[in-house]
Amino acid sequence: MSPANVFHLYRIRLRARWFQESLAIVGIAAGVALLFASQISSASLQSSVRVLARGIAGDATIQLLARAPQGFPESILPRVRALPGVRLAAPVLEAGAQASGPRGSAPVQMIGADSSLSKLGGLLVRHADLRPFGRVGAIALPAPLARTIGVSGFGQEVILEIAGHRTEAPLYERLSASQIGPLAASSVAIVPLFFAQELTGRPARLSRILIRPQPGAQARVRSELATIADGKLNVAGIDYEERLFATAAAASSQSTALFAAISALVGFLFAFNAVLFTVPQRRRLIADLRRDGYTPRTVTAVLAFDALVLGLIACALGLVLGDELSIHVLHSDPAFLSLAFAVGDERAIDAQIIALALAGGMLAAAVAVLVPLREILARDPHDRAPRLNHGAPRLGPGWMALAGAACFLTATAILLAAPDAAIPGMVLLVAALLLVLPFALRSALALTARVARRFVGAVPHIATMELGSAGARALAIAATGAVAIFGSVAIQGAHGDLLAGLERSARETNAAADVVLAPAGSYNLLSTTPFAPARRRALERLPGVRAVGLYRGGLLDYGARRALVMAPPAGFEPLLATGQLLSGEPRLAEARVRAGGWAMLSQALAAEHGLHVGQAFTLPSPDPTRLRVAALSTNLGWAPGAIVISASTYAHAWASSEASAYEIALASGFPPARAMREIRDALGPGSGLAVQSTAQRTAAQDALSRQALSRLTQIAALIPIAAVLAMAAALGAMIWQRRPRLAKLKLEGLAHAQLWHTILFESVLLLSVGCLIGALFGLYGQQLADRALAQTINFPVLYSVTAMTAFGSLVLVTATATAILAVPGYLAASVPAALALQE
Amino acid sequence: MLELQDLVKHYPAVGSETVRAIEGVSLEVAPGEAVALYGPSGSGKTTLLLMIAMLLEPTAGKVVIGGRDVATLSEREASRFRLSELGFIRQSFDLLPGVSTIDNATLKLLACMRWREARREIAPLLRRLGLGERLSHRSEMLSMGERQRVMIARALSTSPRLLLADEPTGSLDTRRGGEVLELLRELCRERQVAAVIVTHDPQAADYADRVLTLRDGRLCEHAPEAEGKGPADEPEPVPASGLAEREELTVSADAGRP
Repeated sequence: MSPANVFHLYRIRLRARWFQESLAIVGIAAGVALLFASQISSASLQSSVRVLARGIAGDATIQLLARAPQGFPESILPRVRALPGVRLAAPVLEAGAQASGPRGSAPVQMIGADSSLSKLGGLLVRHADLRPFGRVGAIALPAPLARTIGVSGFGQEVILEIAGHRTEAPLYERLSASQIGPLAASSVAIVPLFFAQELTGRPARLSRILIRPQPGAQARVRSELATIADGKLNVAGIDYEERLFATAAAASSQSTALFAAISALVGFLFAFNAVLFTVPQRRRLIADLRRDGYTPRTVTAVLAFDALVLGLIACALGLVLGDELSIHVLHSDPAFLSLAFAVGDERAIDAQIIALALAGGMLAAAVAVLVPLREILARDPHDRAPRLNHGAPRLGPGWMALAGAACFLTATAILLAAPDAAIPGMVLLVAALLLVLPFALRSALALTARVARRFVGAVPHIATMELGSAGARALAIAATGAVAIFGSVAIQGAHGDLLAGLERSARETNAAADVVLAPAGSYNLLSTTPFAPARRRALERLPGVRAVGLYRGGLLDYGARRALVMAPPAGFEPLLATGQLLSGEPRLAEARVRAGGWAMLSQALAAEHGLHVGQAFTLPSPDPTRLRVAALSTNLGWAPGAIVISASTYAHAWASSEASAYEIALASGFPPARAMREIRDALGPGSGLAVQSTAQRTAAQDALSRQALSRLTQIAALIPIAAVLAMAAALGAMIWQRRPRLAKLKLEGLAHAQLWHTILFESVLLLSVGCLIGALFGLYGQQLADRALAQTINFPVLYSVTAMTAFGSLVLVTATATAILAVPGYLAASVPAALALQE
Repeated sequence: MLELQDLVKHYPAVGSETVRAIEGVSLEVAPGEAVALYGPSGSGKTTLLLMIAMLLEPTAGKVVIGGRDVATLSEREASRFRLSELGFIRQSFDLLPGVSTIDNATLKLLACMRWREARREIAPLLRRLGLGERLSHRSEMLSMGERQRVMIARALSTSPRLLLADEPTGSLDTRRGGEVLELLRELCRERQVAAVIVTHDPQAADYADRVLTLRDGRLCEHAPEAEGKGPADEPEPVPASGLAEREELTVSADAGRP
């Protein structure tokens, strides 16, 4: 058959099955959209870090980095420039800041640079001439950010809060997308180097030097830089930030990958459901073609064309939907990670993501269309006997359940022995669920039939018989619900457990002080910005203040992780959040850390460096310091890991007496609100320090945790919605196709109401069995995810079994889908009985 | 038992024309009597069955079953009436796949009694129909003849007073078709059920008490020798277009062959 004839055949057949084909298109498109959107969401953050790093560094390939916000002396710059093989070296001073305008405020990464940075050709400063305002002390902001905070005109003041200082800087330039491309979506502020040094209170200090070596001099320059660094600075490639970010975003990436897998499966099942409705027509077509002498190859070509058209249209629709979904629903929120990384919120769509979504969509179309082919081609083309049992699985439900049990046991082994393999574990669990489902459905039908036998009435009997005879269609619909509820319950449960764990961790780590003072700005929520603690004595004299301690903390790159170092004041109790300890004796650990020279490390961080309790290691701080491991803990809510040392140890290791926060303990019974008022009055306006009670600080951290996990919340909500629509559509189509059979039942004397009730009974039965199995497996999946989060990423997870949430999801999905079905069910039951005789 | 009084059914057609499907049909069928109804395609056989089964309203005339004018029944009453007083037999494809013989047969009974009672009630009839050894077999494991006998059991399960059969031997070969008709006649006589059998099968005449032909909407006595060819030789029209439709129709054409 020529391609033209294949197309002609497709076109004339389409008229008779446009509805089913449309359903299949929507099904596959939904899967593609979910897959595409989740991939965009995941890749965008990673991409934004890469783009921003490249946008600043341009052609530089090596960098010399400070290990702390205090930076290193500018005097190193001429030494670097003088190194043989260095073509260009550009100094940079970076600091987190809060930029405010008349309309709002936003955290920004302030980048101080001079004109040598422009010479590196980075997109961010390529068009921003840093010279003209080099002596003015002005600021350049990306246009969207300027719009957000409400500054637009040249010279308009931008309020900057940096390291406990509050100052104003005139706006020099708004950088548009035409100037800096995707970096326009980044939260950065560009200022002249001298101005940055002034704003941060760090004259003649730098954060890093970006270096473009001469061709072939890379290794030599690195070696020379290592000598200059003297073990107190880092020498790294330009992708350094990107690699650290990948570790920090691992949890987010894994959850996205899991979501992508589950959504792809839900989408495929949706598509499979829809395509099943076109199987009778395709079966008839194949039988006709075979009878008329066409070869299996031609028949395959005809079906392959079906799959091609279906896949292409569905993929195109899915990509458009996915794009919209990524903008409006699954938008990447970098707030949490932006505390430690310069992250933008631009969307990244590369060819790989499009290819993956296209491949998924085409595969779903091919599998869904071609699955009936094997069975049909194997049949005798002259076999005209009606097929009463089409779609029944070849393997018995019992054997499938056994295979499911094997998958379940393997997933359990992963849960116990290798929690880091959570994704394969989840895949196995889904496989187990799908394999167990036929057995569960059959058992549920048998049980319902057994119960129905005690009562008079045809409804449950007919419903169970109909479902029993529906074969693959009923299974596919139940599987859609099961997988969706599985995903929703597992993700929602793990999300809840993680959130509870993070809240507890925040409460414990903030327990020592009643009031905390730290540089203001949401960029500093982790209290990592150092400042000169000049007001300690004044604070100590305030009424109600029992003690003022200096908390020190910062981010430290240790191996492949940007760890959070927390150094509470030694005189405060408790020093350690002992509830977060995973290994080590709490009292002894606390005493050791308080005494100095000891540290509590996150288990994953310790494991990466092969450290155990009692073992010594060198902390790669600005002044590398030898410490011993006092205990192992959770990551205290910071994904890359945390290190807790005493404030005095920190001061020594960072060679700085600066603090990151004042921690204030109040006299017993003194009201915190009054104390905070006194403190604010004492500080006066424009101190740049935010005063927070412990409860407020904990609440702010909880809010940030919730924001960081918001994608999981969206995922958990999106999957059941997709499932409800998928199942309602599939069941609706199945019921509508059954109208002739309903007419026959009417002919036998069943009334309209009985038929409608039968349809509703079937729907509830099928959906509830699917959803129940999904919920049960979902609860197990929750444990798998919890354990992976706790063991692999070391999150402070509070294990729970969210049975009520699972039950709620089950009821909600079943009830919603049934409610949606009630109308088409009613209409289908209104079929005239005469249809049975006219058929 | 069944009384059709001057039954008329006209359908509006394209333009101002009217299709006169049934034109003044009167018929009485006594309890235990079997009437075979022949007729070429489009003669109005199905229309007549639909009116008897209260699924189509006559343009004029009456359908009286058991002395009751069915036009007076509400939709709910008509459903109940069909459930208890009428039995329908169509081709064997109406069985639920994957469901056992006995469960398929009890489908109507379940509306008015418990499952156990329904099985107890239907089992003797199934045995009587030669399906005693096949009670737990699924429908797809049964032969076409056996499937049709399950349909007969289902139709007679509620002890109806009237049995309507639409091509009951349509998918059976001559021998099995004969067996089914023989069983039908016996059971109708035993149970005093009036039966109207719409068929193309020429051997139906041998098993019916009366044989009638419906031609152009009017009933007349059947006279096969005057037809020139048997009713079964009436060819179905060859499909004009569409592969899918052709297969549908091919099945019917095959099924109509003796």
